[in-house]
Amino acid sequence: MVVRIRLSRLGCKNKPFYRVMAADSRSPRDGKHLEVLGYYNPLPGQDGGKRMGLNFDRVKYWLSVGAQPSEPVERLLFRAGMLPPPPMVAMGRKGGPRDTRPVDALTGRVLHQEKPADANNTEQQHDTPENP
Amino acid sequence: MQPLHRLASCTRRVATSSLRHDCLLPRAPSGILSFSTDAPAGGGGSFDAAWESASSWSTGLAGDHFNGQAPSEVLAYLQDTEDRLRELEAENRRGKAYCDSWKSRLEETTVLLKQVQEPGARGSYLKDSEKAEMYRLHKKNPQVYTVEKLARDYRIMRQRVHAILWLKEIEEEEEKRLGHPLDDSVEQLLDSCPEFFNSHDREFHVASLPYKPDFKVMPEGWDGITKDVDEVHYEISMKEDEMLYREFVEKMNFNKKKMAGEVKCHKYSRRRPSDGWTFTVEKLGHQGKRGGGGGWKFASMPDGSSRPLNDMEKMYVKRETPRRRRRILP
Repeated sequence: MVVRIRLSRLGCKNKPFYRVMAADSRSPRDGKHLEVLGYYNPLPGQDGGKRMGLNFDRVKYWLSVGAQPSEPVERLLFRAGMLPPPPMVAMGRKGGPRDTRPVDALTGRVLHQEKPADANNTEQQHDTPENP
Repeated sequence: MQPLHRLASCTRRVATSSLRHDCLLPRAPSGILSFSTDAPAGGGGSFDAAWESASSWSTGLAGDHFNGQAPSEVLAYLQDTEDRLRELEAENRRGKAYCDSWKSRLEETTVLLKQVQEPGARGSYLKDSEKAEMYRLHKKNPQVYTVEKLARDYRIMRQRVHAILWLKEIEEEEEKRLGHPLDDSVEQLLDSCPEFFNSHDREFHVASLPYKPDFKVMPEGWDGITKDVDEVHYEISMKEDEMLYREFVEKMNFNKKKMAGEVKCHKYSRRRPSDGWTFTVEKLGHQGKRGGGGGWKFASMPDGSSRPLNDMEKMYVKRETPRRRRRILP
């Protein structure tokens, strides 16, 4: 019916690697597709950032002819600068604030610094009321 | 009582001397008379002759002492003897130095034999004192004592110079942090007895090639010359050395950053930041192509803005770009 720009899962077990695909909405997730438009690696690299690639020309073409991006792809396209930001969710994190204590880069242990942790906690508490 | 006793002894001495003088007085006139009676004739002549005539005594340098030779000849002979002795001593010193030099000569023989068996080997152990000297020179004047110059002066590879400088820098920082010098007993032991350490230090890289005959059918009338096999081997070795050196420097720089804590090695350290992830976006397609390393890349911030890559991210991009080459064996 409609062409969707979505992610097809590659990689191996517990180690995903996605490709951005243009496919008919009725075809399987990893099956028949129309075109490969890019890649997205959800696992961060050693610099703490993520990697992704997009074929901007082809993505613009498919969007112009009416292809519908899925929600994850919509967020990716926003980060790439091709779409406006998606609508913000009204509810915050379900499990409460995350553990934001600084961690050593080599060993992964928590650095024993109370002040930065307090600062992070205060920042987190300060951020939470802004959401509603 | 005592002073009187002393006076008595003095008087006795005086009495004896006076008695002696009295004995001498009667003899004197008879002697004088006998002398005066004989003096005008024989005594006067002998007296005058004694002062005016030549002396009958012989000088110290008489002919008998030198076996009938002249003094000048004897002195020349002595000088010749001294010269000959000095020459003998000089020859002895030279011979002794030559004998002593056999120890270092044997050591050089060991080094040369090792270099013959293993081409490119340094042949001797690089002492810790020399490493400290290298670090001191490089720290004092980095422009003059570059890595290449130190490698050539101390006959080691450039990779090793980099490693030595980094090691000495780390040691210096550790000493500064601890406040007392580190334990260098093992280095001192190896410096004093380098024979314990069978070193395989390399001075330059020698490519290991699987030699095979490559015959060519030259065209008619070809009058060129082919390169020497050793020359080809040398060129390949230089090329491989450059590749190895470049890769070593890149890996060492990355390891420096890793030790500085800028590389997130553990998965706990790769958690999502508070403000969100930073993406490295790559432009694919023929329009986004940039050289052999993929498309043009930029960094996307969590708030949607984008910025160019910084030096760290450029290094990561260079690391992640696959670059294939033939495997270089040591």
